Amino acid sequence: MIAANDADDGGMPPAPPGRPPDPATLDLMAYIDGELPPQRVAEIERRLADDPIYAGKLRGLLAVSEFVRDDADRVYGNAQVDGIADQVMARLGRASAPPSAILPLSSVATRRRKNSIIWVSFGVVAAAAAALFLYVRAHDQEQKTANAPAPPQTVAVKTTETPPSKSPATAIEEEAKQRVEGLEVGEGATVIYRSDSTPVVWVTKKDETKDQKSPKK
Amino acid sequence: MRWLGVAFAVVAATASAQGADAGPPPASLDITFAQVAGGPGAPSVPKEYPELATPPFNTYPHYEVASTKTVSLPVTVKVTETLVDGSSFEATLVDVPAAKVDIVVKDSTGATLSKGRYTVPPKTAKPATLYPISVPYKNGNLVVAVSRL
Repeated sequence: MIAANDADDGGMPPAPPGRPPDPATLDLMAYIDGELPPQRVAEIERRLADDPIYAGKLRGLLAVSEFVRDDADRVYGNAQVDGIADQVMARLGRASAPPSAILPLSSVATRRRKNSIIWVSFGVVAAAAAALFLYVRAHDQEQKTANAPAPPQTVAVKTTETPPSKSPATAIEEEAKQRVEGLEVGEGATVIYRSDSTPVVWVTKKDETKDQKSPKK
Repeated sequence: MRWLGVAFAVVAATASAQGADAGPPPASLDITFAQVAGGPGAPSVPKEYPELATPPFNTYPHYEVASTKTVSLPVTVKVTETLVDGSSFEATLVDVPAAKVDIVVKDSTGATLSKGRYTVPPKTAKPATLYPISVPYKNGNLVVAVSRL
């Protein structure tokens, strides 16, 4: 059905193209087509009895409907479409088509869902990339550690002949020698070997102090 | 949901940056370097150094800590400490896992008194302190004590 004008105008001139019909007009159109439930039909009939403007709107819609049915051949005689109904439905489709700028709610919701999925996917990919980067770097560090050059070798210490020690070369001395490598002492110093301990270099300088004692063994 | 994805990316970038900047821990050995002066007097030794009551240190019955400090020995870096008698004590960490230290002691004139590569004993060892040298000091001696921190 061609949509009528607003209810306050009595529904006389047709609605401008591209403007959707108001809910009251839709109800009347459904009422004319017999598509309403009985309860709704009763409500509309009560309103028609009380509201003359609403009744005028109905009369306008009925007039349009009769015009389409009775004068269809005269108006659309040269139409190339298969039938009058197809012409009318085609014009109704163009008239009721929503503006291209307004998207249906379902499309908006779908787009929002798609955007959310895209952002979450981006975050997951970024997290996976970072985890892969950390793993590779840790693996590289392990490789470097495994291939790291050996620590510097012990510097060879040339052992000079130490002054003859008063204590005999016993097992204690041999064990103590293992606790210190390449021990060298200067003039006036004595190496004292102790069991289960590192040898002590005991320095004495007789010319400095008369009370300087010899170490106890 | 969008901002959740952004948060994911920010956390991941921060973690990767921290992982990239973190490197291996520095190689060094921290020790306690003490100078303990011995001389005549009532028998007494610091409780941290009970070995001073045993030969050869018990030559002098009374010991007191003259100086103590914490020294960090970076690997292959020579660290020099001055003794209270004017001598110098040089330590170079050469083996981190085994805690081997090259020790050179020189008198005030620069003459080498002793030189050797010592192993600093672990804290659980007995004794846990290394006494590499005893030098004359006042009317007694000055003992150097080295232990792990």
